[in-house]
Amino acid sequence: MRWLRAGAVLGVAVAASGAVLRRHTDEDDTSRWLVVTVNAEPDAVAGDPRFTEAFAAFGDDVETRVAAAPGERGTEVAARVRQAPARATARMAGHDPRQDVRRTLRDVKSLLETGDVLRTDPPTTGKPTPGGALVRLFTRRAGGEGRL
Amino acid sequence: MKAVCWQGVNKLSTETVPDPELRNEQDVIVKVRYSTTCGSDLHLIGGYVPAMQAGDVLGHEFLGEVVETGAAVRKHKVGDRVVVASFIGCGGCWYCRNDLWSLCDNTNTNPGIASMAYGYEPGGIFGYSHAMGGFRGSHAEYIRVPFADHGAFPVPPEVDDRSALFASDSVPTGWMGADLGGVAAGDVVAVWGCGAVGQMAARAAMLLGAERVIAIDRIPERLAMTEQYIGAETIDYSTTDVGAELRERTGGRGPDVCVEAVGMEAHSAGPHHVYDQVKQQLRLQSDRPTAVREAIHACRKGGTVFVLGVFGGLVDKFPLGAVINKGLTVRGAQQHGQRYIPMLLDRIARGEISTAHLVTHELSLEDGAKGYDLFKHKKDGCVRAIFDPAASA
Ligand SMILES: NC(=O)c1ccc[n+]([C@@H]2O[C@H](COP(=O)([O-])OP(=O)(O)OC[C@H]3O[C@@H](n4cnc5c(N)ncnc54)[C@H](O)[C@@H]3O)[C@@H](O)[C@H]2O)c1
Ligand SMILES: [Zn+2]
Ligand SMILES: [Zn+2]
Repeated sequence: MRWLRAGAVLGVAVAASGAVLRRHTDEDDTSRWLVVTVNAEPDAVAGDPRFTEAFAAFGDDVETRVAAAPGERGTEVAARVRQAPARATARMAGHDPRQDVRRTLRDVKSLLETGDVLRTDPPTTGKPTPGGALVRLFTRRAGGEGRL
Repeated sequence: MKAVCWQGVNKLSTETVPDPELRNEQDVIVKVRYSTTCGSDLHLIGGYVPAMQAGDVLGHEFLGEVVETGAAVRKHKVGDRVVVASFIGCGGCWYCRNDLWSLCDNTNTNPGIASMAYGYEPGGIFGYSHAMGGFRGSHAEYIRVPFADHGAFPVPPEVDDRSALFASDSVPTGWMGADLGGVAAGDVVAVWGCGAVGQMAARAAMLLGAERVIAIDRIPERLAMTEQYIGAETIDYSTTDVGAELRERTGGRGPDVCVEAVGMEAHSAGPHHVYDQVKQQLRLQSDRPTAVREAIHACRKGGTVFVLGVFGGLVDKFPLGAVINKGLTVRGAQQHGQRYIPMLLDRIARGEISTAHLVTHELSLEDGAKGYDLFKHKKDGCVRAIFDPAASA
């Protein structure tokens, strides 16, 4: 019963975004750029090895571009995967290359803005429950998912 | 070390868990001196907030002593007595730079979960589920504090531990409601809820120049406390028609600013309560917005309603018609503690804000479940049960 409840609560989160998700037919469209805005000047971002080296690791699979954000909001850093879209099953398994791109964009942003990438605390050893397993699955994927 | 852990819906226990360690260079480790229960925890305990895992350590409102510092920490040294903001802010992103600390872009380490629900994720917070970063809470002997130069603040020597404790969360939350609700000289302000957060919102409204502040609850000892320590007027909603009473006390206009400090588990006497509770339990709505509805209805034309109470997802029967036809501003936020804490500690030191009276029960960590039972059910006059990790049961 308890894990059903945990699932139902996660379900509320999904329901809240349902209207948006249903329109997400472009989820499989790899021509879509994934973008973060970094709170720093464009020149500083484009020349920073923490940005260039992180994306150099993807080789030709990922292209990037950098532009000034309006209203002194910093720099828009965009990246896009060149290869064919991953299937939903690959996403759940964590094998969608866009998950790596999202995570890298977030990490680069954090490094440039704070000098670090925050790590959460290790879980305390709680009893394994199905609800907990669901949460663990969501959190394992969370860094590479989300609207970005 | 000992810690109070969530074990499932309405199930808490005190466990032995590993001590925290420095994991980033801007972390400090704090030996917790006091950590308090907060209304927000009730939403986790009741299972209304997703993404809790058995064994998660609760607590986000605390103070203590720095016992270890990361290599990049500049402002703190071992031995400092600090109060820590409940939300974790990086200090470098656009949101932190614009004093919107609870919206930090870089501290929610699980951005995928909350961004799915809300469009974008809020920042990380201690002890508040994996949707908010999965950081361990403060109901423990020690806690790791990331970005400590931005989130931990030295406590002036003249402020005692019990008074400083609430500068972590309740005081800045209340202050934010009045401040961002735009309270100005001469205003009449109504506050729903006389828990710690509502009391602090009422006090903030007075200090920001409100002419009259009226606080609403049904618990006699909380109403009495609000009159005695805050100096606000009160209304007991269980015996009074709140809307009619507010109209009478405001010359028929309605309050200029309404602050809601109740949250998703609001209580009400009418048939709406049963309706909302059933819908909430069937997961057809995640929250019960009773006080928000009442505040929107009572607010004067062109006034502001500030929602401090925490809501998780969807509500039903939201009076959108009143919002647009009365020209209201409706605003809400998780607290931007870093923006206010030093100023508030100074005000506490000067005696402008009383906080220590909120402590009605002081317990050891072993009594974690008991503390929440007292707090949740408002037993024995409980307003806040606080934990002293140095005490043993
Ligand atoms: N925005 C933030 O950053 C932030 C920070 C801390 C707490 N909170 C939220 O603020 C809310 C209050 O926190 P608290 O610690 O004071 O909680 P609390 O449970 O001690 O107080 C809530 C009070 O509301 C009263 N109440 C219930 N239904 C009511 C109604 N219909 N009308 C008027 N009063 C009603 C209760 O009797 C109680 O006294 C919670 O939702 C909490 O999650 C928000
Ligand atoms: Zn709180
Ligand atoms: Zn930030």
